[in-house]
Amino acid sequence: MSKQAARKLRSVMQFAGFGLPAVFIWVTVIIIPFIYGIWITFTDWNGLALDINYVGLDNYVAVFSDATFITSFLKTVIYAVFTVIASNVAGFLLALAVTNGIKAQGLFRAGFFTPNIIGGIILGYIWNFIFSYALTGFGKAAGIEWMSTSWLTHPARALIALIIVSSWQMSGYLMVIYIAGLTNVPGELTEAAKVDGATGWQVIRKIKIPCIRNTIAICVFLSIARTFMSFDMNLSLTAGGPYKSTELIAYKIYQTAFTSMEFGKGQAQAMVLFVIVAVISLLQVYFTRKGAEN
Amino acid sequence: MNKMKAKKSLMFFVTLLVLILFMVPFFILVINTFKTTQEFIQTPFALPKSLNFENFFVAVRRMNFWTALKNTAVVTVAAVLVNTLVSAMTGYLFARKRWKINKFIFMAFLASMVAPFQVYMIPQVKIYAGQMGFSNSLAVVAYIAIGLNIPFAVFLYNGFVEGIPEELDEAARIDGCSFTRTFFLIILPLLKPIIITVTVFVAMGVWNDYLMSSLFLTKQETKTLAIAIKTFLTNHSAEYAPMMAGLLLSIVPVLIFYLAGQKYIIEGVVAGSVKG
Repeated sequence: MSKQAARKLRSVMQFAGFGLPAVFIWVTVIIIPFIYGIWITFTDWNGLALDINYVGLDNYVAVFSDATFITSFLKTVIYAVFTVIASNVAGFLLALAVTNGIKAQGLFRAGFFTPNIIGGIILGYIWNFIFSYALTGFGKAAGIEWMSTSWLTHPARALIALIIVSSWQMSGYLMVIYIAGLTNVPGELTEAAKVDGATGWQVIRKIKIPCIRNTIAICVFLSIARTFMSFDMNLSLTAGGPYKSTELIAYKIYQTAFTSMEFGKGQAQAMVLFVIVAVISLLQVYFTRKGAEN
Repeated sequence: MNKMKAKKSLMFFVTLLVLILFMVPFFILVINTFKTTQEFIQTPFALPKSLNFENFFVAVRRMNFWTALKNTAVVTVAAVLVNTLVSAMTGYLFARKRWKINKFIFMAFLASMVAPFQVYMIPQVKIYAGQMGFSNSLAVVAYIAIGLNIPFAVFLYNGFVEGIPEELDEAARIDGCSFTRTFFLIILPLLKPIIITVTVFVAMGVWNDYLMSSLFLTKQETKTLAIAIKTFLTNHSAEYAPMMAGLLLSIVPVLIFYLAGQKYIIEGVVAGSVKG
């Protein structure tokens, strides 16, 4: 065997040993289902029927002419807007508070982060009990009318509950990213500003925020993507109710596919979500790259 | 300076107050695990009249807690071990051998990270549970978890290996180390920090996963904790106090890890935000 052939063989062996296992798993778990999924959107497969028929673009037409899907999409947008704003503001303020040189910073950090180590299903149920029983009990005892019936039985309030709980969870997560950004702000800059008589608020607005623009972009896009994919909490806190009024898009997809058994339509809805999330991710890459260049 | 100190203490107490408010849901959870359902409904905010552990026994029995805990641990450990091994090897290969095919696959890995799980879930169920008949298989859940985490893990390992000087590999080769031996004897030990980060990220994701696992695991004896608590809560919808105990029990295992290594866990969980 020539030297070159031997080297080639060695490279092939190296690829087979080091690359192939991961590539094989990835192809079977991600690539094949992805392609297969596209195919499913062109069929009327319902999980039971043996003969599967091609229906062309019918599923996509059905998705876009389905008023409940459009409503679900709009609800998701409302949910996303409020959750993203609330969790980013809260996360940023928490990060400011725990990077200010106060005592027990590590404890605060760990404390505010706690909801992120627990599954959304469990968190949703804890809050479900709070909204359904604890708050109503308190409301009745104190004679506060809007607290004496469960928020989860009222369409608008149920969505607000979902926003509150999601923001509660996500603020601790975003806090950690904001902390990383804030600790990179040069200390000399803030010190110099203080010597020149800048107030704490001015230091935050004129120095800290401009310095962490990139971090803000990451946090905002990350939280947008997460809100659009939100499922667990939707299931355990409101279960889409009352009267399907809080079915966010990821939950809607699940319902279409596994409750109504309309797999083709469910997969077409999933493709819509895919496009939304992909666009958000690409925008994130674009904006953070641009920020890094400046 | 005194004014500065006073301001710091004020900040400290304000932040502490916010943290206490933030933790209220957990306090409510804990105090209500010791009450009877009757007591829970009447006085949800009061401390329990007596420490009653009965709820925990009921929850353990109804949830099949130990089986669920074992299943969750099996899936998580298997997913983490295999994912670490294959992803670290691939990350190393891609960092050291800049072949066209490696670059191409790496780009494809990155591209596949933008898709949400919802895109894969229906076909995965159809293929693995339907056509291949692997429903209620913990192995398949672990396998899918490994696959879903491969792009991200390879991305992190690859980046880390690129920060290790290639002279190290050269020196090992001159000493007669093969590519494989170099990886396992020289590089792998150096990957410890990134292994911890990726392990935490994957482990937390798999441990807390509900959606993917629930599509495959429907039998009582294959349920993981997240699924067991969900069925317990939906099937016994009038026993609030035992449910609170069940929720607390599901949190305790993660909480123990969190108390032991919160620094690593925060880092690992947030590692997800660096992608892209």
